[in-house]
Amino acid sequence: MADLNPISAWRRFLALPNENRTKTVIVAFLVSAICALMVSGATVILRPIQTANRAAEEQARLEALVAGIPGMSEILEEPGGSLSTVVINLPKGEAAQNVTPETLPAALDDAANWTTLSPAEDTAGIGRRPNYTQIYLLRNENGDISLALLPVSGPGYQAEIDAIVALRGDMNTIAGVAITNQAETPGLGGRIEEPAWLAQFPGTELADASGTVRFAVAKGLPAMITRSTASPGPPAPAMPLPRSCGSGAGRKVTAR
Amino acid sequence: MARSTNLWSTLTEPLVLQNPVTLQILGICSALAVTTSVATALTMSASLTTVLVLSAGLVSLIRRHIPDSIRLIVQIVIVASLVVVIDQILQAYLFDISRKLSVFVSLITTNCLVLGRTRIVLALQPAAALHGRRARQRARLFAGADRHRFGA
Repeated sequence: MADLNPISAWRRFLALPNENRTKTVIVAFLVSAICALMVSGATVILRPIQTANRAAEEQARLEALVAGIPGMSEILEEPGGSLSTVVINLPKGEAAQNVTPETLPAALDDAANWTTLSPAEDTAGIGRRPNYTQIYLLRNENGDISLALLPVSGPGYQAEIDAIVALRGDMNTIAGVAITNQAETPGLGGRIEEPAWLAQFPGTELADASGTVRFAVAKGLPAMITRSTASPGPPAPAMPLPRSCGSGAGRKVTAR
Repeated sequence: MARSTNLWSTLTEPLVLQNPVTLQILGICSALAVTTSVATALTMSASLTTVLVLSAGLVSLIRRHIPDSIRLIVQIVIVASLVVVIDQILQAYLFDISRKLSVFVSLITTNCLVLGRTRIVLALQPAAALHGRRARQRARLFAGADRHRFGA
């Protein structure tokens, strides 16, 4: 009769020679199972804290971006000056009616609120874009918009690169750029966070006098900064910014 | 008395006479990368020490039952899981420093000091595992051999 007592079965298993094939498979399975438990446990337990950390970092970058633009901190300190958050419905190109900044994370968890981009639309190579995104508007005491902060994203070598582009009240002059999320190689592509590189952008105009948009997206953004052998692709067709969550953070101003 | 001298030299030899980074030239890749500031260097050394101690402990627990054919894989799976856990903890509680350390925490997985130490724990008798010149020489041999397998 087979012995079904688990303790003696375990003892018999341990007594098997190490070269035994069954023992090899069981040891491999047990080690992987225990390690998988350990890794997924740590990830799941710590995820809320990490998300909060990332959100705080993004907020800090946003504030640093606004503070770094000359004249903006004065507007913030004026009585009427305030930085307001608006959720934009990207397919319609207008402010979203039923989504607020508080409900935005929940809305983005729903796959129905994402649009898969066709290759022709997907000039930045990000595959899909959310239908809702939040932008920030800084108004002066008359209620006029003096600064608009728009999120953009583009492909990196490791993960998507997210950035915020700050536009002046004329909606044409770039006031500053901040990288909010990237995972490029430190010291190489990671240098897109450095102030010296970001300082190239302020003052650049999106469109020339005839209204043609000339702030185009270059593929292979990290290659532009590292001068690596990977060649940047051709500049993709430009897209009007307010609807362009799918534009990249790279600058390729074509001389006209 | 002889015993205390022995323990003292066991403690100090790796720091000065047998320093892995400056004398054995092992693990210098991450050592050079993270010693640009005191905070990152201390965090990295704490993480490395934790991974080293825990992985050596775990491997020594199951040492007698690891089949030789999957020895290296089992070793790496254990070390890599510990590294992921440490990385997650750093990202949760020491966010700024984990940003500065970036990929080098994950690279502890292939750090030859950790692999060499778990290899000794696997290969040697319990009493000899942590002492003696011969153990250290074998550690260097093993670390070198394992390192060649990764090209790291």
